[in-house]
Amino acid sequence: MPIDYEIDRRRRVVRATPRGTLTHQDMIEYQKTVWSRPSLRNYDELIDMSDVAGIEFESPQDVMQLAELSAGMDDPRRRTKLAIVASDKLHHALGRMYRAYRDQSPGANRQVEVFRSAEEALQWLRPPKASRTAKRK
Amino acid sequence: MAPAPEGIADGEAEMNVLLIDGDDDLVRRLRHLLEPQGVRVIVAADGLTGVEAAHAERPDLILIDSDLARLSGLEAVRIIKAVRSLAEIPVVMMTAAADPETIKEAVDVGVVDFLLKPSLRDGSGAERILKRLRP
Repeated sequence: MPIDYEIDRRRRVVRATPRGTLTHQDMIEYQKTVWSRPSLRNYDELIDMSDVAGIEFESPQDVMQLAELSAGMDDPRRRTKLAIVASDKLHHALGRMYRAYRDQSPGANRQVEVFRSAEEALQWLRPPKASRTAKRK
Repeated sequence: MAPAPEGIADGEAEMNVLLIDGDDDLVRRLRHLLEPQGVRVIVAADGLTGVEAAHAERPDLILIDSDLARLSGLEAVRIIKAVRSLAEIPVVMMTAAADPETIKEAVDVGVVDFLLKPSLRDGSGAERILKRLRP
């Protein structure tokens, strides 16, 4: 599977790094392998598409199917976040298409945003400073 | 067999245009101009349903607004052009104003022509659409 991932338990984030040419099957497999683990259900997610050379994409139904599958695996008790990093314009557009389908899928409980850079994405995933300060008190 | 619509010569196949635009007035206007010429107009109101309709209908021509909800016109064209079976469908982009940056990016993506929206309202743009369909 050309999607590497690491689990950051301290920050409660799964960081996925797809590489090379990505197929619909690769993404389905990643989703099922990682997000069927109950211990990760309330984690946020960062998918960095920077090393993706191409996406084999046949129809909008591929994106819809992936969005519905992943929305169905969201934690209903906690709204989590997914940041997609895509600087390539086609990958960015496909990320926004995935977001649109995901938002309308039954069970969706993950806020999705698509970014051009990893810095922007990480900033968005971090909790706001005010709430961190409040927790320390 | 049903008779050919008005404006279509015997044996001439009906042409399908996918119009992706959320402006109901413009959609009505273009329907009024194109349908009497034997052009079947399929309508999608935003970029996402536009990509779906392109895949489902395989039209002869796509007319797309640059400024759409859910996916922008340029994003929708990029995705359509990335699907091998849709890549050859000519795409004409409709814009409210001729912004050189949008035009350059759209040409790079594969848009073959631009129409300013005012030309579609007065009817002159419809001539160019028909020429694209029946050169």
